[in-house]
Amino acid sequence: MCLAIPGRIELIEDNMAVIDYGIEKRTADSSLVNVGVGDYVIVNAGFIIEKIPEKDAKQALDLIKNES
Amino acid sequence: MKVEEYFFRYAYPCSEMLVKLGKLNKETKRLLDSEFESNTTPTKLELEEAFPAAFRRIKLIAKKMNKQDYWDEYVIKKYFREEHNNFIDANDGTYAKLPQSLKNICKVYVAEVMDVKDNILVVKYDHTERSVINKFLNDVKKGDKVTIHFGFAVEKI
Repeated sequence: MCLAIPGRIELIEDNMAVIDYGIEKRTADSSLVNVGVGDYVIVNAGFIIEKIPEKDAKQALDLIKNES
Repeated sequence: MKVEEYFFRYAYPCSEMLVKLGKLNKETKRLLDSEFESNTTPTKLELEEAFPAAFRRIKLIAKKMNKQDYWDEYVIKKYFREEHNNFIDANDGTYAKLPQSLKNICKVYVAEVMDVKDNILVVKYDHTERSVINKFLNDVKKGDKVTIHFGFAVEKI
């Protein structure tokens, strides 16, 4: 499963993060990238692959909201 | 490897974003997901319908290379290895609306393998060291050069 949409980390426990996407929550492996609660991240294939700045995440989420 | 499979490895990670942007329908997305998970490859027609923006760009490249058939191995390779990042930097199509950090994730990088741990590769490019997922490459070792796209190691070069 791949998700190129930014989500916000709500909780991390033993390298598993709970990520909030607004309409749903999903878990992902957080061992590849140094992240913490509150960070906006991109998940691909069940792994957090990148941390992105909050303003970029919000810009991407606005884009998704407006175009779909 | 069939050229369809090569294309799919690079393009699949973008499909979720395309659904959210309303550019790909959910039915096609479900089909792509099941094919990706079962290691099967969609047909050329399915891929062209799912990723029209990529094929618009690929057709331009084929024309420049004087290739009649844009489903040519060298055309598709040139797209992902060379031209893809140029289209992103030129803010072509939807890229114009994406913030820089997301555009960077979409780019393809050539990286050197520093360490191999099961299905994870530690790689280095542009002074950046990071871990990526290895789903596709069997015989990869320290010192190899691989391409990186969306947190995945895609091919050895």
